Amino acid sequence: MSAPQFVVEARGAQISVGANVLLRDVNFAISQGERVAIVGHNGAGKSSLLRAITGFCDVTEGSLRVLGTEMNGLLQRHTIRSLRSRIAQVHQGLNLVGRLSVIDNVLIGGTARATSMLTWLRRWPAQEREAAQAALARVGMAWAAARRTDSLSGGERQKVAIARALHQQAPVLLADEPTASLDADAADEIVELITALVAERNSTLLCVVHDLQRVAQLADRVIVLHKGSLIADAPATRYSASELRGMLK
Amino acid sequence: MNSPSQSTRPNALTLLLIGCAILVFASLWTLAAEDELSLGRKPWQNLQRTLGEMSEPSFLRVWFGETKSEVRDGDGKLLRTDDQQSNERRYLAGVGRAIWTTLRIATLGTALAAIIALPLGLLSARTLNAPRPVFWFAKGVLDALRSIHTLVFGLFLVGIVGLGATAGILAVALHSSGTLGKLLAESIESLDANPVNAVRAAGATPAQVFFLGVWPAVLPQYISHMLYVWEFNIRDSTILGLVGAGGLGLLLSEAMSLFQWGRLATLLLAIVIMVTAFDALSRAVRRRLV
Repeated sequence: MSAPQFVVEARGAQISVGANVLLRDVNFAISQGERVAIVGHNGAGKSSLLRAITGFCDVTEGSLRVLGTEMNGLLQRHTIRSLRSRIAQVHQGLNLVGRLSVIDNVLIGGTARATSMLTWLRRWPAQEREAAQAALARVGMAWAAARRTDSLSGGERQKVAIARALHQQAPVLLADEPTASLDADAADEIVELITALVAERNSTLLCVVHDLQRVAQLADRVIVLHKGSLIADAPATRYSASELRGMLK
Repeated sequence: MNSPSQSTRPNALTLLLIGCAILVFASLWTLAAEDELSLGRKPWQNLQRTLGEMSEPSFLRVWFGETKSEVRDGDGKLLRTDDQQSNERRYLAGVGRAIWTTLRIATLGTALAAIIALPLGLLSARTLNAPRPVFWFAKGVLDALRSIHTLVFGLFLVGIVGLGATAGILAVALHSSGTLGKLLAESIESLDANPVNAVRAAGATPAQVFFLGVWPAVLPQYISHMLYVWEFNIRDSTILGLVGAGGLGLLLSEAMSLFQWGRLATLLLAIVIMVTAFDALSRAVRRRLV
């Protein structure tokens, strides 16, 4: 089977919950290896778009194709699981399992590969453990492997989340405000880490960015959403942060 | 802006308070009308007499009581001489055995409840999305188990498995599994969904999502609830003997039937010490868990 032309392709995509339209007639296409920033205020539809891409909500009208799969709400569970395993995510906030060790959280990234019942008891194959340890080392967190995750700082946890995404070995990385609630130094570190990893692996990056100053750092292209509609889709360098801010008023 | 009709409408709390007040007055009024609120004749004298008799717990006789007690017939003829201290020592040994039985009933009952509650609690947690008929079945079973008191289960089970600790263990297990299952379901429902969805988003199977996302977060709460229910069951098990389901309750019933207020005082003291000690132990463990 030939590789799909686009990683994500939206054609007239609409997402509604009851009478509430969250995303309206959205059109764009993202190719392999592109780095795309999505900006917009709260309620602009950014998170809904990411949720639709990962099959957590359905497109109600139009079409959304992700890695060649039509996200039409009729997908089999195993198809959605397989698709999700090819899209790594770094979420806004700290979506790690706090009571598990750091290494177990990273190993969760490999659950689509390691499906044995032993994984229920957190008994992982040796090669998975080695790969997870390597991912942790790559983000500079190897020292914390055995620590409980909820004992780490916000910046450290975000690095663990990136290590988990790395361990997933997926061609696409979705990041939802990865620097939210971090101080400036920690945010710089996370941005550098994400851009370096995306470049190393030639991954496709789709990143919701709240801090408009960081758009050009993180992405080559920017998609601007406003009240559920796509109002701009351009190279990231075309608009300054203040121009983007002006568009969102 | 609020419309006039909205601003003058009483809020839910006011309506709740009015409802409660009506219920309290209706209960008082009807019970008084049925002459069911009587305190009996001479309540104060009765209270004073009972407290007076209970102020000398029987165990004190081991050290301070009469050594010999003579038992005579109607004509004053000496039938036998009892050693009061050795009688009391034997009684206290019996209390010790009953406390041990009560503890075992509570412990085994709680352990069994934890096993029964686990599948029912998981199936009745809305966020785990069990098929609707299964969800309603599990929820219905938990509601039924919780709504029947341990003592009622005890009465029922004594008729089935006979007198003794087995009936007590099963009675405690059945009622507590209702409580534990509901607490488990509520713990799962109140979990932060984001870490669980993050596991799902990695392509994990439903079982992996449960064992890696849900279970680690909910386990400490479940153990904490188990300890709380165990603590509660130790209290509950002290009365199970009243219906023949083993433990201290049998001695309580005996002391009350024979008007042995001193022995009743000994039993109540034993219960208070035991319950306080295990409450403290359970609280200490629970504090370290969460």
